[in-house]
Amino acid sequence: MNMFEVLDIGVMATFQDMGRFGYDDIGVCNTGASDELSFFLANRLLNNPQNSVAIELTIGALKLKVLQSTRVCIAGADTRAKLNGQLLRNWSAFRVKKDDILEFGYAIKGQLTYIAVEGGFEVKKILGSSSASRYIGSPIKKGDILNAPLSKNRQKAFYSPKIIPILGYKELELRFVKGYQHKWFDIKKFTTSKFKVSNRYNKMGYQLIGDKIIPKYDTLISEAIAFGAVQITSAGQPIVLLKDRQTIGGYPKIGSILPMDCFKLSQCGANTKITFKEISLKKAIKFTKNFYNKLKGI
Amino acid sequence: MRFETSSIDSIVIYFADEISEAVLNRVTFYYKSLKSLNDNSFISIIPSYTSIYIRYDIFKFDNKCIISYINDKFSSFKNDKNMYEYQKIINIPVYYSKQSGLDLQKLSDEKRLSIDEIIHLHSFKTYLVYAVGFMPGFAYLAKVDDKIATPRLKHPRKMVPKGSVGIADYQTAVYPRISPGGWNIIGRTPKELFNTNSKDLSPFEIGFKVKFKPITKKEYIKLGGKI
Repeated sequence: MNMFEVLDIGVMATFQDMGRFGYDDIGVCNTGASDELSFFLANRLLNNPQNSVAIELTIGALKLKVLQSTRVCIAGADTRAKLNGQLLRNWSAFRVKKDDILEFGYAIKGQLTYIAVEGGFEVKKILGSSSASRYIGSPIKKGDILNAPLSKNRQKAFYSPKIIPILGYKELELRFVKGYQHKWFDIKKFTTSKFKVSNRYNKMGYQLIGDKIIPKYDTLISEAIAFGAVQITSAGQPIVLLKDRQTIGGYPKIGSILPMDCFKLSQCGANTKITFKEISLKKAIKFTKNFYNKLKGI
Repeated sequence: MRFETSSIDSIVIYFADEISEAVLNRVTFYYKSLKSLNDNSFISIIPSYTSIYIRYDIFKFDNKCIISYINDKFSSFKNDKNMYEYQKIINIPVYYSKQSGLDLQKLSDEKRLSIDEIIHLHSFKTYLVYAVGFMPGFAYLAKVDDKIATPRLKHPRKMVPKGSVGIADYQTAVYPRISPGGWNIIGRTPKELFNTNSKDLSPFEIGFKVKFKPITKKEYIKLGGKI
């Protein structure tokens, strides 16, 4: 069913689900929603299945015309979204009617806003996923018609403030586990150094600037890159690799940050202060399991 | 064989510290054997040169269990010596020219070889796929002849045309898509190397053999190549 018409678009909006799996051995990255938590909460409030397709809006700015009545949920970065000029509450689900105008401003806190629709957006799957990456699928364009199933539900819904993550971090501590070529690095220097997000950051990864971290060796045979892997460039600067990363690469890596911290990092803009904290693998796995178990209970 | 943590839910198995055909054969064997299990405990299996990366389900295994689980699987695999003998040879038609090979003249000047000699040296050898990655369908092929091995460009190009065949050190590869890149470009193939509409997404797989076949401009255009 034709549900929305895209009247205007700012920087970037793509469809995302939980990602594309099973093809990374031929170079196809997993991609998927960068901030899984906000993505999950957007779908959850509408009782959508977890892997439902939502819009991932980067730094805001999108104008949609509603073509059919349905229910929408917005979560993630606050864009001061408006329905026919009336300010909407972020992290809420609400009814929209035919000819309504749903407008998102530029993000004021955080980077990524998730827009979910009742039943999920209907987007052609390529290799098992509707997520757009650098090489597969394409971003949403002005003039596009967005499809979703019909909805009869009119119920408004909100999250309690306890559940809502605080975005717009000024500083962020990233927990990591040692791994890969960690023996090539001075871990103590790394964990006591201060970094900030450079202006080179996107869905592929976040390049940080700060103290120089120099590995003992600089040539590495290319190998697969994990979600959250922290690679150190030849200039001694860390890059945290995220959802749209290349599948293999030849920079040495000190370890990988926890998935939940990747989600937080994806909501950070330039100049956010970053530090790293080493935690044991055992604790890291426990925290990650707790995180996903808690989501199931929401 | 050495296991190393790579993240909270993945490990890398290193088979050696140096690249060789023997190591590649082992990596290929274990990768193909693991993949053929269709075991959904493994979320990703990515082979590359000397290693295999495995992402697994942390709700099924902890870091220690996964290692013994993989070791058990490895010891159950029967090494089939014929596996490599029957490995397919992939033929890639290439239009080598100054027009399609943006760095062919530069390479000819630097190496003091005629353009025909470079084409011969590049297309004469059979290469092996050591890894597929970086972008979908991008295969790292080795090893190119000493005489034409050459470092990456000092200033990578913002845009390398789709199908471009390049050399970087002892490796050669084809860009399946338009992309930024720093390899020395010597020709272009009309062959589609990554197609989500085709059953065979990419002709390349680790361990496959690859041969380049020189074609004329006319043949290149006929096969759908664009200048």
